[in-house]
Amino acid sequence: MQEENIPVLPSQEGAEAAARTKKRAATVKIVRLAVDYLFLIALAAVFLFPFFVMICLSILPDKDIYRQVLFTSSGVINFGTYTKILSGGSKYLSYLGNTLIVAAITTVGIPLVSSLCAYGFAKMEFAGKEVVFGIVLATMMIPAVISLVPLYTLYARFGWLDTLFPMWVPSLFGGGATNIFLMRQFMRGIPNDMIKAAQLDGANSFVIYFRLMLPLCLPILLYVAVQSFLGAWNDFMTPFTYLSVGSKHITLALGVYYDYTNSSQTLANEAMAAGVIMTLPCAVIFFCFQKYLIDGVAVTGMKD
Amino acid sequence: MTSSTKKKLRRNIEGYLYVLPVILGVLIFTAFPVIYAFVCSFFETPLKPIGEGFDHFVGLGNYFKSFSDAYYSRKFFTSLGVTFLYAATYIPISLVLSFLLAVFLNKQVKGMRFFRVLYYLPVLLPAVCTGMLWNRITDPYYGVITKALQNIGINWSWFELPQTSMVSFEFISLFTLGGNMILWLAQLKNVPKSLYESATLDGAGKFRQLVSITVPICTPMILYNVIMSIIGVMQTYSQVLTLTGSKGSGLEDSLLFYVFNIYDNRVTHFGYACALSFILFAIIGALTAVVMKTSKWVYYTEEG
Repeated sequence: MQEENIPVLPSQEGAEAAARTKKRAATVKIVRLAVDYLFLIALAAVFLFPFFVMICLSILPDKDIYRQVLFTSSGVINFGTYTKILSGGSKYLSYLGNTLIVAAITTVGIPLVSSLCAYGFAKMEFAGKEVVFGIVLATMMIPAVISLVPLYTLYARFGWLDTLFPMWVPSLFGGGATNIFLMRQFMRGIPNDMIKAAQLDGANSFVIYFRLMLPLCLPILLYVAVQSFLGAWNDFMTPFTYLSVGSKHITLALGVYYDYTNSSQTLANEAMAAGVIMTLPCAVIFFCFQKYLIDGVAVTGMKD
Repeated sequence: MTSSTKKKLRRNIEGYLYVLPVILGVLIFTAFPVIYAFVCSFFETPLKPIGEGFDHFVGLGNYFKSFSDAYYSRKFFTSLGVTFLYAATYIPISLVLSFLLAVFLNKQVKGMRFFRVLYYLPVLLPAVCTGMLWNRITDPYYGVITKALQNIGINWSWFELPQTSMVSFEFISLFTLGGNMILWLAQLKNVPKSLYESATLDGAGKFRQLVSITVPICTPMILYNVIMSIIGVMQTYSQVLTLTGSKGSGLEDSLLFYVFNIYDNRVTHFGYACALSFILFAIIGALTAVVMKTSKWVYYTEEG
């Protein structure tokens, strides 16, 4: 950068020297850029390695599985693993169905309910608001396992064991403090003048929430929705705690663990295909919403 | 009743209606189980539906059991040791590496956003898929990676030896560095460009700028990440379970994380499992308090 600012001297020699340094600076810049990209690509290869291995193994013919290779020498691409998993009446399809039910309710429920509560905390005035919000925030510090295990006793009383209820009912109560905190932070950034203007036009608080706040909060709503979907899709602990082996309500995360983790039960190619199918929706959703996700995470780290 | 108090009452009721779901959620899914678990921790009782009473009162017996009874104390201290070892090694390594990754990815190079997305991708891989994948590819007899490493002369036993289990687990966990990286990147955006410019004018090199400008400005995020990592790492469970499958907590309990102990005891010794949960809660609380108390190194900028 600095070299470029050297004033060109009037003499022939000076001009040549300046041109030489300029050229050298340009070369250095290109080399640096090339090194950067080389490094970036090398790191990308490392981070994508698990995906690569999973996909390679999933299309390997059965006879190559025990040869400890990634690619077959026969040139056959085996999609049979996928059709086997997704064929009618397979256990995997039942896992998928259960997971879709839970994920659908959670993805709609959490953003809706948590935005309602966040609106209350961000824009309404009521006695004890700060205390209630403080208590809600404090629950973030409580380790999940401390409530996960004793809730079993409650769900047993409700008759919720071996059902999908423990997986989705909590989402109708806002799905935890983190979402409400994020939404509240976002809503506090919306000017109160807009709300006052709406009030003057005769809008009540719910109309303001529904017609004004929700559209303005779309980025954070999407962020929470995507996070809720991923959370529901990947949740292992909840089904593991409340569903017994062989239950017909087993979700994908638990089913993949029971059926495919141990090498004694299934071939690796089928297990990897099961993993690829489970990962695919997460990857697609991430690529579609990566802007909201990455920007949303930026909000997560901000303090009050 | 005057109209102003009536109006005030109405406003309070309205506000509480909005936050009612989260209040109920906290009461049912957090406060209730935590209090119930606390009561149960004083009883010797198996897991059973709520309302069927407790067996017999043992006072602080469940809490002392971890220290007095030979069998329980061995498990307790082993699990504590494993968890602390993981926390003490993995938290610093992952924070430093993800920070360096973020600094590198903060360069203004074309296509950087794409690389960030790629590096974040492994975070989205469902934990159960990561577990299954590595379980298969590190298998001593059929694993692709085991074979590939042998071919280049490395005989790494992964989870077949107690000595290598922890290092292997930490290595696999490092693939999710992208999660912290995104948080750092958000913080790096907040560093005022003018600081670097004046530092360059003063002749400070890139490394000096990193140590004297970037790191101090990132200290609030360091504090946040350290606390969140402690809370997360102390609860490690499903990552290990899905990875080791039938071997559970690893050979000779080399991966017996604290929560394994809670889960192993929860059915027959529910009271003891509750006591263990509260000991964990106390440990997390104490560690967080220590980090907060010693957080004089955190530098808050004016707008912070």
